[in-house]
Amino acid sequence: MAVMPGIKASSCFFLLRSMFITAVITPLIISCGKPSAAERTSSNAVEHTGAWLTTNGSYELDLAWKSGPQTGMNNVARLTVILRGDATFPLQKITVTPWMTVHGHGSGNVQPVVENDDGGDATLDPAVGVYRVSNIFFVMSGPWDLKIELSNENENGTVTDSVTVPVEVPGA
Amino acid sequence: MTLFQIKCAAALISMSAIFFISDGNSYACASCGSGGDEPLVLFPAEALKIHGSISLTPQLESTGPDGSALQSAGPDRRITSTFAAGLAISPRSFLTVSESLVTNSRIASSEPGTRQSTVSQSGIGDPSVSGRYTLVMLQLSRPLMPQVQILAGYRPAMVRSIHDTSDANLLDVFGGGFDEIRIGTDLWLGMLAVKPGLAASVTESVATRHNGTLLKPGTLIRATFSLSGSVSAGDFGIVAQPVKLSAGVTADRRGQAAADHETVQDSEQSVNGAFVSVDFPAFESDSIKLTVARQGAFGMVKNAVASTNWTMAWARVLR
Amino acid sequence: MKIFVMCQTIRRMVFNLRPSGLSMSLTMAVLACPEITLQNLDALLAAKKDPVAVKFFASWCGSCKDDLESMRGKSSDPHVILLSAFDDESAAVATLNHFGVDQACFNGDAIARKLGVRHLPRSFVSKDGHLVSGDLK
Repeated sequence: MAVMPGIKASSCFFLLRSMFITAVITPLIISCGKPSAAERTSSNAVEHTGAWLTTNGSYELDLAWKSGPQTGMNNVARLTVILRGDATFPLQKITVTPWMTVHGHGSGNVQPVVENDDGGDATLDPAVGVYRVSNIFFVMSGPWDLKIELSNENENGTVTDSVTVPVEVPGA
Repeated sequence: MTLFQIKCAAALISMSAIFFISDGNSYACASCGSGGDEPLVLFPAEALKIHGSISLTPQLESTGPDGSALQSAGPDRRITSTFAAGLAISPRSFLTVSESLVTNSRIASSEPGTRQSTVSQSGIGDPSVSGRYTLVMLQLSRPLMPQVQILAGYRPAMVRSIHDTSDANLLDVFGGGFDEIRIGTDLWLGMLAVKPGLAASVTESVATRHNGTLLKPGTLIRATFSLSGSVSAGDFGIVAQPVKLSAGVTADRRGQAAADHETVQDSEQSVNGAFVSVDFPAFESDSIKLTVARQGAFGMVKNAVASTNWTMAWARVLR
Repeated sequence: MKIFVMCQTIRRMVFNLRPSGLSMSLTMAVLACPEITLQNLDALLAAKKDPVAVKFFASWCGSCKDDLESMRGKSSDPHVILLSAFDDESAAVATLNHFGVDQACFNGDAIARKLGVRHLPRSFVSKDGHLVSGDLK
């Protein structure tokens, strides 16, 4: 066998064998332990971190404004839901309720609309859900809370978790 | 109610009790108190009286917990027409009922170069019933003895409020959303040339569930101080009766609200006001009253609405 | 407790005030204001010669003060009839005695309602047996 001068054949074989072991075994070692929801299954998984964690720790949420926040009804936001713990998709229900705590009122009978957001930003990561929340009515400027409630079905029935996201609606 | 509020109420009640004199059956000035809080006041010679008024509020300014002005999606202007009737129950007491028609208006956004349009909606407001009883009557022989009245009122929440609106401009909001019960007292030194009056009332709202949340506004304490006097108008109208001028200040303080039995931090409300009115008889049985009132006249306005009201009222004695 | 003591002090001050120049030993000239019907008033006016002033007043009527002050200390005027209206008899009597008014007084509630009296003080003058609005000239 022609090898590099000065190196014995047995040493080459040992080196090649070590490299093979490293290349094969190491990923298996690294993948041991419980994977996070963001890392499992897909090789296209992107690291997602939510700014808001629900009360029972089932979800992390991100809220990004596409329009607003401003006084009036034309407020649209993108809600990113990241599964944590034992939660799974699809979610049974997501409700978003604006509330102006210091004034003690919400937005009357005007209910925000939550729908799947398939356009453009859809992620292939099944642990992440992206939703479009529209028809959010801020009656006036000032400090508001968005109460976000997520419901899911499991073997124990319907489980609900929630979080309150503060929103400062600027004046003119 | 907080301990401070209980002490205030107790002090007011004890002040009234100290001046109480039981004098058997007597015709008293069964309503000519400071009258700062009533749209309709009956005088002793009046057994049945009706009242109509129209009030213009050209601008409504909402404020936040730090007193800063908030931009609102709601109406820019409100016109309130109030109809009331008063009935003397006894020489010392009377009842009034009132109802209002509210018109909310807002200037709709328009394209540059086009005329502005206004959108508006009208609706009935929450009705109210109230009564007054004179504990201590005025007497010419005791000019420094104030008239002391106790008052009570009830306003049920019967019409749409901000909690069940469907309109982007809140034009369909005509009521408060909570049943209210009010009690108070009114002291009036009506025998002096310049007549000072002091009225204080406590309003309690009934907890109500709105959109799944049990809400209860804080207790409202309102104090009104006024000075009034009469000026001779000569042969004004058909009868020569003096014209009454009044001016005063008001202070509204509301405690913290509660949501699902939990106190809401920083939700107290406070607003101070001032008013001026002119009251003159037009005919034997008619009178006309003009009032300008400013809510938020001085001091910080917290979690409340500042506004200026222009009101013209007419009253006629039927019996 | 402090508020109670303060208010008791104020009450004593109010009750101890006396109008200047009026003695508490004043003779009680008016004892009662009995009721009178319109027919009786007509008869009374017919018995007196025109003109007769019929004046309505009340113990709670602050604007009546000037009229009552003008009658203080004067002897009874036969051309003036005082009618208390919408008032308690004892309060009306006390008011007249407070001002030292020596004048016939009647309870004129029913007459005031029939004449449409809404504001006090109010005066009528008899003319040809009828009451017309106005004051004695």
